[in-house]
Amino acid sequence: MKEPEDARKIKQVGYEKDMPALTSGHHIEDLPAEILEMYPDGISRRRFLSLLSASAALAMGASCSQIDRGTIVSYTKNPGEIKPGVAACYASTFQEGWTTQGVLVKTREGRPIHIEGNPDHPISKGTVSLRAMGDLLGLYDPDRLRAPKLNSDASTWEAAIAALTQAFEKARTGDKPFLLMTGAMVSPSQRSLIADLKQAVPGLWHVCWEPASPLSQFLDDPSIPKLHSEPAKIILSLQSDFLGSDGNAPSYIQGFASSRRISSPSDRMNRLWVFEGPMTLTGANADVRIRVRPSGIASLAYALIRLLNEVHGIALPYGMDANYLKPYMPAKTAETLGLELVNLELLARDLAEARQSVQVLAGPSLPAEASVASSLLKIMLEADGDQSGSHGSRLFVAEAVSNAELRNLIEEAAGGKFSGAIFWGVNPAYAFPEASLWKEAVGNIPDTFRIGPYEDETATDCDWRLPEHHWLEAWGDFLSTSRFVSLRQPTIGPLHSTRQGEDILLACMRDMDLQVPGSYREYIKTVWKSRIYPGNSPVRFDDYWNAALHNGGAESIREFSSFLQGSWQTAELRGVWSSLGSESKEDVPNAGNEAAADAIDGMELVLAPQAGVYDGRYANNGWLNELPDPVTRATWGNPLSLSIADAERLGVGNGDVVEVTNGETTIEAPVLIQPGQCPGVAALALGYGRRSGSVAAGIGVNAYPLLNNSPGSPLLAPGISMRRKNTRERRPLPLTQTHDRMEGRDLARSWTLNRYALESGKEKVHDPHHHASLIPERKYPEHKWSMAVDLSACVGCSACVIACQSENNIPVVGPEQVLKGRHMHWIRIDRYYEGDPHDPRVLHQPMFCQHCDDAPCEIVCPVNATTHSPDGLNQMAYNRCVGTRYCSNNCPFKVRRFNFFDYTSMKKEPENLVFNPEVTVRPRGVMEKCTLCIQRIQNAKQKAKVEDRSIKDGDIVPACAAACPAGAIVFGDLNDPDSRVAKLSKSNRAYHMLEELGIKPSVTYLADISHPAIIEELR
Amino acid sequence: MGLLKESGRDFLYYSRFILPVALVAILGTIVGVGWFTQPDRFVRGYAPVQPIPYSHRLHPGTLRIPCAYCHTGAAKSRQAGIPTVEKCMNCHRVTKTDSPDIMKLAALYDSGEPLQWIRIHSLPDHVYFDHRPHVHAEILCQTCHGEVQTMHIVYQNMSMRMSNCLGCHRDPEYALPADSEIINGPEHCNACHR
Repeated sequence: MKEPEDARKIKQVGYEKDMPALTSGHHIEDLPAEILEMYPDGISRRRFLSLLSASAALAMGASCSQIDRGTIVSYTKNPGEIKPGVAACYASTFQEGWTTQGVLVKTREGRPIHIEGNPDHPISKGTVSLRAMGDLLGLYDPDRLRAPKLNSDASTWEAAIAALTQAFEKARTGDKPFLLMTGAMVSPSQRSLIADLKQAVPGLWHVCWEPASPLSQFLDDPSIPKLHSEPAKIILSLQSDFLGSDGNAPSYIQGFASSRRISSPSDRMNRLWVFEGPMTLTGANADVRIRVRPSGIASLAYALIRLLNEVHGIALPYGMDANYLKPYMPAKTAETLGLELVNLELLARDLAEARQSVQVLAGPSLPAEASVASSLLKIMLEADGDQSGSHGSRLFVAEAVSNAELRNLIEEAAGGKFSGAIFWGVNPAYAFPEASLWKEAVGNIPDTFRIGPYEDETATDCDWRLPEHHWLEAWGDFLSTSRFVSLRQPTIGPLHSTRQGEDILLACMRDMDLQVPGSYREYIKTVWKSRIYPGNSPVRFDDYWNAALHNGGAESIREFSSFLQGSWQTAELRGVWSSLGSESKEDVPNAGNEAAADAIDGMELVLAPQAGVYDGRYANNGWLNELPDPVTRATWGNPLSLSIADAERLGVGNGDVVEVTNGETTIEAPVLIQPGQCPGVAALALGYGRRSGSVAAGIGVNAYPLLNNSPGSPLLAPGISMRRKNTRERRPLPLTQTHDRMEGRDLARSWTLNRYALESGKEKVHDPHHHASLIPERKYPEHKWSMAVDLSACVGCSACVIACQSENNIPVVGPEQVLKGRHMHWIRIDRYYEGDPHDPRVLHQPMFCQHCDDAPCEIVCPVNATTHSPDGLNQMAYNRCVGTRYCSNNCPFKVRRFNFFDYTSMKKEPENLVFNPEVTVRPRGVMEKCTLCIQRIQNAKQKAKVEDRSIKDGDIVPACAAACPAGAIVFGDLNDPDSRVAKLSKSNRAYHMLEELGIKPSVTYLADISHPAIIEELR
Repeated sequence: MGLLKESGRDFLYYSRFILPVALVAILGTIVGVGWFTQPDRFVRGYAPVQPIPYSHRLHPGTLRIPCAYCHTGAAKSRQAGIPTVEKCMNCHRVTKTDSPDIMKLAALYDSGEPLQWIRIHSLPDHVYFDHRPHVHAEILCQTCHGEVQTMHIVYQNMSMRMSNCLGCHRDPEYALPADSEIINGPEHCNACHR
């Protein structure tokens, strides 16, 4: 060992004496002691250099001979179900708000990599929401809270449980109640657990709050798909976005599309009538869409009732006085609302003719009187003769609070009513409209606990922050209907030191000396044993339980109607309706003042959860942020949609910031001009403007402060005013599509039913490969993979986009790159507006690599990185690509995507676990595009080979096709004449994109068929 | 040319001596740099010392244990797989329990600590080799992995370059059983790259 003093001595004789300036940063004593020992006289420059070169040579030599290919770690004990390299799927349940969906979680080596719908689930029937698929990324979110915290200091679970138990004890002995605030609660076991807790802590107040999906008295149960059981002939939507943001949209899409995929003009096809103010996805798919302000919908419904009664002789709903309808003269109502009377008459005729197969859907953002009126309309059409009794299906949860009730509660909390509070599955610090009142309330609750996955706005306001499992790590059971209970099972062990919320409560209950099972899993089993399992069954409970886990749920022997679902009684409706008073309300005329103005007053603002981030809970998810809105095509934010007329009056364009005022509250938001929006109506999505989260913070604007707090739906703010910001600020909008018109080309082909009848009578409309070509025709000896997209079924919901992103390791690029047009989605939904921009017809067309037989990209690649495969695929060899981007420039569909940066290298642990190991992660400088899920094709091929059979139709399902709730995407082998895709490609609706170029795309599109109500001339 | 004359040497000298030497030097540099910078994974004969000195010469060789007894994935999965420690212990609970290496193995089994084998064969990330069709075509493991049953310490037998793959896919006769109906393997990019 060397003494430090000696080293200092050496310093005296070394070169430091001569060159004091050089040694200021590097001290000779930094060298290893052994080297200093070797040179007692110090190191000369020559010696230093020779040492340096020798060590460099040694290092080079060493690095050359060192082969490091890593290690292979085998399992110690046989993990049973896990086979390395083979994916295993587990049935589980996704729950969001009041809706649940059965899902299949695809895992590889024990980690979830993809989510698909569970086709065996009797309610969701294989459909899955894009947010369920996207929330897979949330499991691996690096921002997740990894251990309990007490006021931003790390703590332990023991301390947290002790503190919570103490708080419960305090509530048990003291006189102040304890607040338990949760999100929607549709789980029998959760409810039973809370009931047990309530017995121990009688002062426990449990409330459920869903800020973006409020329950109202006469709103249909949003969780139950109604278009399934009996496909409706006529669907009337009164500002209900059932294909977009309302309730269980994927199930609705499945039901809706089932009677849109027609193969001949005589097939039964539904007709969708939509009355709405903003432009929603449902309106975009309407056969007849009529723009009307939300405040006018009540009188519209009454006018319809009157027409049905007077013209078609349908009896008025029980107890309704014909005099009540006097003010609602159809002609006058039509005139005030600015719509054509003939449309109302046609609709009344449709409704009267279809009677038994009519669906009237009312949206959650309707004013109170409109939802009563729509219920009356429903009763009138549904019930034959007997119009008393119960109607509809509605969700009834005793603990659910409306916004007004919640405000009272928070006010009470501010007054010091509660001794403690748990906020579990809700984020009131973000979503409660009045921030100052919330602050006061949370300040006046002595013990506050936040159970949630993130250290979010509410967590930072609370004392204790308890990290919760992601749903893919957790157990659970949820009611899909009052009879069917879906099961949730963990598909991965907890990634961090988190716990399931229910387990936290159970631990406290154990500490309070209550007899409870050891874990929530055991708890669920006891609940199932006593309530769901048929006790007299010959099947043992364990077998029954395992079967239920495998299938994703089971039918219960007892109905859970008492607390979950019910129906409303006519008498109930009558009471509410008569309380509204019989005086007719003055309708707001539709056509507004055309004069330019600095500010517009009296606008109606419709709020709705955003397609990707929903009510804000997924705001930290890059996939869902970058998902273009199905209608506006806006990513990373929520611009305020204004009609063309209103934008012209205010003199604003896309991105110009306006101030939106509702009473005392003013927020600023950039404008997006929305064709088809009703003048006088503005629309804004909820879920943005979060203050926490490394992805979420600062994206978009928080629309919750604008929630309506006067009676009526919280999602409709009447009487807001709007003015352009004085500073003329602009915020560029990251849109993925900036040109909305087809410019007379036949890209997204759309025919009316009559035109279809005409066209299908003709000989084959086109001969796909009739162009002269210098390129010799390709031969496909074995397979010819192809895809068919039915535009008539496709509603443009964008589930395929997220499925593709998850399956194919597609990077997220961020708003700045989207602004430069560098988004990476392999499948994009082109949205076109046709006709009058004020009231256009909207078309959606999924667009992805067309795998052309004579692909223009292939012939321009200088390095042969993109070539044609013998089974008809346009293949990419990433390792050959040098990034000239010639292929992208020569692609007429612009479906090739270029990696401008090494997007994946910016991933933080454990985000990289989300990657699909079957797909290459692309580096910078490489072109990529849709492969038709080559990994799934190859896997199916090898499987078939091992099983000594040929590939059957349906063996290969690409991620987009699996995710499509409408069944609009079909994949298969064109060489197999019996395959679905071969049949579809011969359909009389079939066409190929840009056929005149002679590039012979493999992908077939089927023309969209609309079913308008007018007897229209043939175009 | 004036410059050449002035230097006192004629053009022939340059073309006969300097030019060939320069060409050889350039070529040598290219080949040398190419050789020394090629990926490690091509190195044949790589035989690292494994944490447990498992002998393939003994187990599949002398004892004739079939390859797929341990590498169970070969016929069912893309990856042939490495056996679990549990599988070793199936026999070694009773066999050779006094050997220090088996005691080490037993200790790993009991503690559940991971057994980290040193990887020998590796392919780049953009290559998706699938064992299944090759096993199904009855190509012997030895075709690529060498005579493993004679190796006391396993080493890499084949470089596993793309030329190795394509060579066999174009002319697989030597690797296939005599009665095989297979004429060749797929040669398009997507067969291995995704």
